[in-house]
Amino acid sequence: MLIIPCPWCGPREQTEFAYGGEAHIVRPKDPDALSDEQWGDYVFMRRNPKGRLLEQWAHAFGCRRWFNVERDTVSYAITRVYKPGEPAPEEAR
Amino acid sequence: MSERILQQAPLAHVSARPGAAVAPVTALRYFENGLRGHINLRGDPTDARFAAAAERALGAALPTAANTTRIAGDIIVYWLGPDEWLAVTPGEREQEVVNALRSGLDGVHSSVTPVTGGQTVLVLRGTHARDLLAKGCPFDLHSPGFRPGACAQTHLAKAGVLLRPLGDDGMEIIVRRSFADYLYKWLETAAAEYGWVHATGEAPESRAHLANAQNTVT
Ligand SMILES: [Zn+2]
Repeated sequence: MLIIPCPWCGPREQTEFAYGGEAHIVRPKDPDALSDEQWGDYVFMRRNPKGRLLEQWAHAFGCRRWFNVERDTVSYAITRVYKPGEPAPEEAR
Repeated sequence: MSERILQQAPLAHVSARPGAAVAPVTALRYFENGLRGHINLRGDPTDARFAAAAERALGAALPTAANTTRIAGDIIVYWLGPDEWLAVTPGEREQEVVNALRSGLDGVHSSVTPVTGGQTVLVLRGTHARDLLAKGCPFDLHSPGFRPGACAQTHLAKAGVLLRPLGDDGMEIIVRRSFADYLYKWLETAAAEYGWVHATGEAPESRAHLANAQNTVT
């Protein structure tokens, strides 16, 4: 069980949250211009790193806000949370 | 000829049951503060026009610190999110407050949504109120900051709830109408070891409770 620090509510138990997958995936501006392979990349392909991952969580049972989490997929340690619109930590990209 | 509308609180069927004649001192007393007005308000608190109009309509500035409440006379305003609040009013004042919010916020990017029919207010009183809730709630009910003036949205026995502590021995629980009967049954069952009394009528909301709650508002 993870304790996740919501940027607004502070540390809360994982059961209050919903997972939203990898963060910072930008929807293509003109999907019609993409090949099937490029669209498939956008929809399905994720980095799935062993180690640091930037991912989205929503505080579903709490303040209902989405935010970003930097988490290690091996140790599950959460090293940073930040609000939507705040820049990604560079070194983890 | 005016039409009479019968209003019934979501837990009217349990509130009507006779209370226990003899109850242990540890017993939890339960009340439903049904038929309140519930108003959901959304907007940008850094927009001076929004903040001022909300303050005028509600009688107090919106609480902008996360998980806090503010009491303005007979209205309680709960922080639900950085751009979202719940105002609970006496039932008969709901329409007046909705109207005041809507006219004050005319032309301001915001939303005012009456959600009265969708939820109800339960109150537990007794020294074991927090112990009882802790059986089904992942939120740390004993954390130092969780005292009158605070509120927290979490889940209780898998139902989403909004909690507001009323001193050491009381807790207010706002729950969706459709979960109210389920949650009541869970509470009554989980309280077996302490004793359980469904008190008739509404929770005593004495001036002392209000004053108590107001003291620690930040
Ligand atoms: Zn939150």
